Amino acid sequence: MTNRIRGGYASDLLSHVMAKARAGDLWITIQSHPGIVDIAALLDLAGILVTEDKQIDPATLEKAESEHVPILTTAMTTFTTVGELFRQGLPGVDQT
Amino acid sequence: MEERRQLTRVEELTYEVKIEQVMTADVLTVTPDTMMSAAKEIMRKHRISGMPVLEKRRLAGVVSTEDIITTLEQGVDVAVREKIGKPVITCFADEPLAQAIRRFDMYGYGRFPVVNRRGRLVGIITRGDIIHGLLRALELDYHEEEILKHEASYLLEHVDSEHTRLFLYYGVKARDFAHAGYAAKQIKRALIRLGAHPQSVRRVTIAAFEAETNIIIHSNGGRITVLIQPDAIRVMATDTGPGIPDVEMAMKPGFSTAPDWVREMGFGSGMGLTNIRRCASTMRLESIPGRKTCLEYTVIPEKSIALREQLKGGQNDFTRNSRPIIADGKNRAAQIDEPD
Repeated sequence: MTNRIRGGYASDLLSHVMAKARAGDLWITIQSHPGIVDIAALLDLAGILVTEDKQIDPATLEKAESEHVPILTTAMTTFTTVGELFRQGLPGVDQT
Repeated sequence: MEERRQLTRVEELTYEVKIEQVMTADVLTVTPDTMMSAAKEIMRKHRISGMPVLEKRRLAGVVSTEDIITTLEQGVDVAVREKIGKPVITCFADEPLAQAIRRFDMYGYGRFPVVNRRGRLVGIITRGDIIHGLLRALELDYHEEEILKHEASYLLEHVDSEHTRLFLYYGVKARDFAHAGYAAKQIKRALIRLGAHPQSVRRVTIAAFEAETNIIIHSNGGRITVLIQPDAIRVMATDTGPGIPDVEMAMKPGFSTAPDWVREMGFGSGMGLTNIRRCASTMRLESIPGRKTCLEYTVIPEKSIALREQLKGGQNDFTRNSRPIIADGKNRAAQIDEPD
């Protein structure tokens, strides 16, 4: 959990994440299946933030452990989460 | 240790960088007939501390703030001619910076006129010019080092052979979402180990992930093979059907035939082939409905040639007024991020 976060990207569509998210980005999504860990690992993302207190599959957590991908959760909706992070100064991919 | 190494590099640079690369080329001059009060005004207006004195284009001396002060003290305005008795010490434009530094140490002057080998005035150099020039040269050094660090034209080049090819094979099962991205991950690791440029790795990986998930979502199963050569990475994703009825339609961004349960997982947004096309240097998609689909793409490894050329081209010019020659991080990113 010492990864540096460079920026943020939010989407639930995996191909869009593949296309847009950059290494070091925090990915905000409502997806929680094991596939999200693969994507985070492939793109060297800083971590995944799953919104709306979505239950994370045990398989996802297990994979996250072995791939060293931090997974965070929040009760907030994606909209509010992103708004809050943005307010705190986290830039989006289209801003830098 | 670090400090000592840096000092040495600065010393080295004083021999590599020439005076003409750091001097100020647009020199303000006066003639021997200019009054000291007028010279003072020019120096005040342009915030400079000294000017060469030219008589019929020949260097006759240098007038400095010190001369201005002594004139003011005497209370009588005189012509510059009266104040330039001292012999003029000059530097040659094509000499290394070290020569100028030596003269500064020897004479304690604040500036030296710079002349070409025919004795014609071409510029003026101050200690500030030297510091500024050395800093720029160091910065350039640093950027070059950074580029070399990210340079990965050494893909497979540590293997000695007349012709090197490495072949990777991954089987991909239909509907095996638990292993989606597995082949892409293995390919990524292999390319990193083989010394591929991070941008090349990223392009190959993103496209491989899309090709892999396409096989998982849509096909009866297939395989991904990768042919790695020092100058090209070629990926082939083939499956055993059922094939794509309309390839042109499938290529359209957002077009998808994925079932709802797949889309709910975030797959099947119809952007997969678009992503592949964006990442690949070349791409080919062929399908025989009822039999098979074959997707092939290549990625030509990055060599950052453009940026290196840019750095080399700028090396003859460290002067203050010149256009900045060092690309900032943003420019470089733009150059590498956009393979097309």
